[in-house]
Amino acid sequence: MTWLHNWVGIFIGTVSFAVFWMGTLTVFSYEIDKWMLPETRIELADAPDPDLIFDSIVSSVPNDRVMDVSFRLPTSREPVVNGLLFAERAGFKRVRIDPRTGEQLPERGSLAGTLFIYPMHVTLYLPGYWGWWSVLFASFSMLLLLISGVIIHRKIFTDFFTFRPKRKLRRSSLDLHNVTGAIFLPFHFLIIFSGLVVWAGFYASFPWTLIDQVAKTEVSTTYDLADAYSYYPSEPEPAGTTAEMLPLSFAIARAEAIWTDRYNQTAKADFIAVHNVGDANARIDVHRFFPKNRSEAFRDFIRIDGISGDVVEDREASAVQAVRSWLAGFHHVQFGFWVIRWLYFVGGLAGCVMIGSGFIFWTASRRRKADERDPLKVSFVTAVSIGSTTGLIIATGIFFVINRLLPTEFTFLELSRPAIEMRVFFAVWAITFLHSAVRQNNAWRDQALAIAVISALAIILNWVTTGDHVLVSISEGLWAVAGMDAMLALTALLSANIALQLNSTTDRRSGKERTVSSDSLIGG
Amino acid sequence: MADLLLLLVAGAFTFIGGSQIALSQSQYSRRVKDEAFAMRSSTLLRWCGVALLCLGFGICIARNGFSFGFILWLLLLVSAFFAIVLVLSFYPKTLKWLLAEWRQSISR
Repeated sequence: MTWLHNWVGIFIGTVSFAVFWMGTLTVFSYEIDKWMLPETRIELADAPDPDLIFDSIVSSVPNDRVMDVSFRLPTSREPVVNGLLFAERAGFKRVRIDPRTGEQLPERGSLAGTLFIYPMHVTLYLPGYWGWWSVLFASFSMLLLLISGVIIHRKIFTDFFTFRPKRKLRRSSLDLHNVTGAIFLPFHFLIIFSGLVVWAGFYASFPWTLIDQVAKTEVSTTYDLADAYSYYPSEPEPAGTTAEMLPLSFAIARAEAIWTDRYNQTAKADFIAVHNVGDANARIDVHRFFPKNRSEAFRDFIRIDGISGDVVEDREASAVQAVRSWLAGFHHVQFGFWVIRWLYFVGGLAGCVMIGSGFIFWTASRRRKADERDPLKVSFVTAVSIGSTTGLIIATGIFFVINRLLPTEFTFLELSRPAIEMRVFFAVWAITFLHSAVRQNNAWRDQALAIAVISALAIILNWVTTGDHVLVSISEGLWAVAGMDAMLALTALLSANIALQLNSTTDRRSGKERTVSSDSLIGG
Repeated sequence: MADLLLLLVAGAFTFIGGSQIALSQSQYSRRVKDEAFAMRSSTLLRWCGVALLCLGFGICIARNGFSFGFILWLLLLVSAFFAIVLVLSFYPKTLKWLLAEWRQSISR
């Protein structure tokens, strides 16, 4: 069991850390959006008019026939409306609207948190479906690792609260691995399991998508299987004749009244989708994806006839779908209460620490023996460990820095600004692996120092390019920006402290080496 | 605001309860106070800790219902336990008051 735990951990650690790290950042994806897209730092509209938003989205393609429109109603976390339309000639198009005025905002200059960090958490940006499968495999492996970890932990109850930071690195890293693994076990188990359930609709079609991938045919996702625990509204066919549509506000009010009556508490819609715009068979889908202070997701849905205003479909979730909805709500963390998001953030970081300390323990406990017997194996795992952990954090930091450095309309070799940001992220991540391979254990110190410098630079660049330093952000109520800067500052301080401690350890070791014999930095 | 206050109370109960469970084990109580701990006292301390954890759970459920209160309590529990680990590792003496009060009441 120990062998299984060690080798599955080493094999899957890189993917697991990436999924955990990106998932942890996704908890604050809208706040990251506000930091990376300064034009979205606007006040929430007092009473956003859905019809104004709808008209603005439709008018963004003036000489085209819009067929479908969808958008999420503005919230304090996402005050700008990110709409999506499908038009006859333009095809799919994203449109950003200021809900206070209906004014169209310039095209998004960065994928930021919601369109880069979140998809990275789900698919790792690997081509085709490889990313989905990798995350699926890593998730199952993590469940296996959590269970095997409990079995091989000999003193799980007696050492439940034991962390000895002043002992040798091998001991303290194992303590940290055990403590984060044991204490956060229920949270980690539930978050991984719920993640699997959220995407079960896709994973259920695994064999078919695999065949499609290999044979390079069309995707044949089998919704029949997925429908057992999820729900996919059907696409209404257009009638082909034009008709006057009723206001969206009427449809929304109608759906909200039905939910309020059903649940005996005020219910607010949060997502609108309009099908067959201006057609006699127009349909308005009103969703309540994330009810405030309830662990539910994608449960409430009412379809209203866009011409007559009649309720065409009112979804009542089955028992299985209700359980799935609870788990999806748990995983998506869209509750109104901000304290809970911070607790999730701590839980996610604990997962990262658990994986990182596992890596450190593995290399630390083998380095001395491996120096004599199999140096290549440990050197390889060391490089992978450092590149996967601190390397990914550096790449994320650079992603923020490059976002503040590039001008808004910047393009290079026909690459758009968001595409450049993404490529820089992956290029820097690849470089950190090379650096780790060359510098081995010294790379921990180098990369910790790099994280400190990059984090500090990101704060300064945000100040210089937007004028919003922490004090301004707080005075103007931009808590998302202030929080982001505060977290970057904390990261800079912690990383600088770690780099200094590693530096002094290396100095002591160098002195020892001169007088005694060679000893490893962390093998101790 | 009421939500935040109740969360703080539930968090405090969870932290104190978890600390009592930890301190009922001799290897942790020795870090806080350099004295041996009687078996009977440690058992009582442990049950007192469990009771406080249940109280924190009760507050979360009563305020938010089971489906949401459970998530809230779970997050409070793991965060409080991790905070206890950090306190026991870096500033164990800060938990001395918990043990001192308890030992006085036991000795009486």
